[in-house]
Amino acid sequence: MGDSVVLKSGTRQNSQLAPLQLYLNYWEIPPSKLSHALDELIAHQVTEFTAFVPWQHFEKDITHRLGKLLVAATERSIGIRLIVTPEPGIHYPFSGVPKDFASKPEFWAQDSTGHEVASLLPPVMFPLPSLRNKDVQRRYFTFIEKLQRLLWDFGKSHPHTHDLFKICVGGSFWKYYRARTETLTGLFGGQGKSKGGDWSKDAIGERRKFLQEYYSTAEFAEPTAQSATHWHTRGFDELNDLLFQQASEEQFRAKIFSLFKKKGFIYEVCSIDLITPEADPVFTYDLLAGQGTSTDAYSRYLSLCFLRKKATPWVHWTHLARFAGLAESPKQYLILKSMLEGALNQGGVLLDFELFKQLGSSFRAKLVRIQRGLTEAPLQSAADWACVSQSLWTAGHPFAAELAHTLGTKIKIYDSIESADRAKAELKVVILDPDLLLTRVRVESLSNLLNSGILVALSHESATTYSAQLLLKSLIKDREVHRINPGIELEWVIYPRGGLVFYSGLDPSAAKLAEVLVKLTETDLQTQVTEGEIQHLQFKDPSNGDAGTLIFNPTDAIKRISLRAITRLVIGDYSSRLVGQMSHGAGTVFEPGQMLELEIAPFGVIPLKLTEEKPEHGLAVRLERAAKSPTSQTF
Amino acid sequence: MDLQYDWKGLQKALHLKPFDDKPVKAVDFTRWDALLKKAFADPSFLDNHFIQQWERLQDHAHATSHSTSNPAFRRVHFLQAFFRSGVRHLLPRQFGVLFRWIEPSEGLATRVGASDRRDRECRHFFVLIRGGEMVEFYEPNFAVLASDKQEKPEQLVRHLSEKHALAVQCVEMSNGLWNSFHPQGKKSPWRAIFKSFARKEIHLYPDRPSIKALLFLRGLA
Repeated sequence: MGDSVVLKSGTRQNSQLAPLQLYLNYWEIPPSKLSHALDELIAHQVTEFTAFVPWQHFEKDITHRLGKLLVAATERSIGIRLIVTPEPGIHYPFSGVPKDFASKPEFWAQDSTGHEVASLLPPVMFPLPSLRNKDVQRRYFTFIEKLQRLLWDFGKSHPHTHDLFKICVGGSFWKYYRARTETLTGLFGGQGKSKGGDWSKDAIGERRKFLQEYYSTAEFAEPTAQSATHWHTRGFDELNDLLFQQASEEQFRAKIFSLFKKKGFIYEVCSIDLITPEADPVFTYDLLAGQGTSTDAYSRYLSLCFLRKKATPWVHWTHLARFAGLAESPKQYLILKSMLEGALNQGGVLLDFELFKQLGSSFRAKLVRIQRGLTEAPLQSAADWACVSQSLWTAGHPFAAELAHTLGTKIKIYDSIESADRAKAELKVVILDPDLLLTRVRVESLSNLLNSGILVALSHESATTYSAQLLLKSLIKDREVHRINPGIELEWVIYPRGGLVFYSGLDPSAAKLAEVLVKLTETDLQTQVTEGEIQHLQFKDPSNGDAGTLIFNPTDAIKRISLRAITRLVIGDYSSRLVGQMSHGAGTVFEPGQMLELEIAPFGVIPLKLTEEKPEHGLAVRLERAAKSPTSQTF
Repeated sequence: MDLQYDWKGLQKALHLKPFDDKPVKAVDFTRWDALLKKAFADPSFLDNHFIQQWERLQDHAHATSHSTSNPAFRRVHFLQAFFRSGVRHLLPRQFGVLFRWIEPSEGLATRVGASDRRDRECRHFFVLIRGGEMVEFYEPNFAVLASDKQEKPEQLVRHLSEKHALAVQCVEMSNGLWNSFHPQGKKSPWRAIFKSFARKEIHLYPDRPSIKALLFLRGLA
């Protein structure tokens, strides 16, 4: 067999999977052919594959297809990742959602403009149900309990399968609860009437209950008992919407985790983010009009999704609708881009085994080579800046989007300071969205970041609890503060390494702030690409300390681009490294300002190695130098 | 369990590519919003499968608009067009078509109906037609039949006929021949189908002269 897809490897961090994952719809395979289907996967050297567990199918499955799949997989020692959340684009009627919930308006989710949120993918178009609806939740969690019991029993009778099967909890419909009038330029950043989230009657009722509970803790009733009512006032409406929408997804995931992780359950339960581009509301009108979504639009959509960091991202191309109609080149480009960009974020691309077999043999071989290379020696995203936003998929403020526009792939958007704190080893700068609510726990995480030498920027006007304010004051007490105005008013609290920067206003220019912080921290953006449609993605290679960039051409025309070196750089080809060959050419030295002209084939990808030659400067030294400006005073 | 609407199977069987690879033109958002709301409010809409739903939406869009409809969604498969044409008045209101494609196994050149059946693999796809429309489609599972019966198209027809309580027609041909009827261009494949019939490359089970005559006539037209 020419193409081998070794899908499991211990070399990626934390038992991550290879960036190319195949899935098999076990319920579509007659029981008599199940063994044959698994043997076929094994013949392709697949050691682990993915399977969706459609909710409705599991409820109706009197022939115990899932149990039979587990037995057949155990006999062959082939691993399975079971995705247990309802996700749009599953090839089962209503994506596995019971028909009652799809057909009765009282169960439907509603976007902020009052419209139902539609899934327009085959085999059936249907309105997404509200996962906040009590009946929907009750029935879904009953399904999870039954599934847990089946797996618990199986694990008990087959204890050696503990590392064979894994439960994956995805983000389900939450990220798709957005107005379809949202455009790619405002993806996940809708404002005003078109803000994201579920606005069905049930969800609004739940919002009220959630906020009452959330603000009932002692922290919000300080300094006086009357302070608690302050958080429910109209001025906090937008913040409260974001809080609720973000918490909805988290509570949903947490509940699934709690149902699975009972004593004696031997299988790992992990969190993933399944991105199904064809199902996103932003492409609804294209689908309705029967018109094409450009490859460029899909390509930009992927980048905007990967920008957000919550769980391991996997791009799921359903091959059911628009994607199936694409010509080979754009299809291959999108698969490659999903796989490469996913791999840099510890995720990858999820493809139907049937689709994989239909791909050209040379492209399949290429995917397998890259997949092997990236599994043996993974590359990482070079993003070392973070923006912490109140809500990941329904940002109410354009701040994060604007930062991302300025900093490109240098920045990631996190949904909490705690998750940025967990990733602090990779980070240099953390910027807090002015919409972020600062609680005591969050300021403690912020303090951790500061003590780790990270530069943290936050707004003076962020909503802050009383105890968080006190803690914040203690962080700046007795420290040297510089007031500077390089186009935006900043207060710079000096730390031995890193620092705390206060910016003013609830509506600052994020682009300006980013520009200033880039200059002050002497962050090197390394190169500038001068062609508008070209997308580029910086990465680093932990195996040898190399850095590089992937340049994508999402158009059907040859593109000529110029790269201008900002610092002294050694630029070389990195194609061989992508497929696992560690030795590659030394590259050519480029002085600052020098240009490199490149030609990229239609739907092509060029990997370049960029080795920087720069003087050694600690961040503190840079900050000292940057702060030599008009006024400075000590707190 | 058979999928009632096996979209993936249908796409593969009929070489369907429902969406054009064309750039997006200006779209009237509010019109589509209203149409979608109206469609979802009708419970029967959710009883339809994707193609029916899509065509209903497009028909409503066309009826409420003064502009000409977008031709992209009107790219109907030649078989679908055939069943929808006047021919439907000559056919039963409801019937099934079982497609049986023969593929030579391990590179052995095999002529349909001529060689050792062990040297070939068969792929099946069943379509239920009602009032000229495809209402169900899936890859049937013949595992319940004895293995010798699975090799006989007549037995497969009987099985499906009893299962759905309707007349079923099996059309058998080589996979390569079926693929050749789906050229990239817009040329009608009926003349090629007619010639294949004449060369006995397409087999009907049961061999109904009336169906054969209809297909011949369509090929001549």
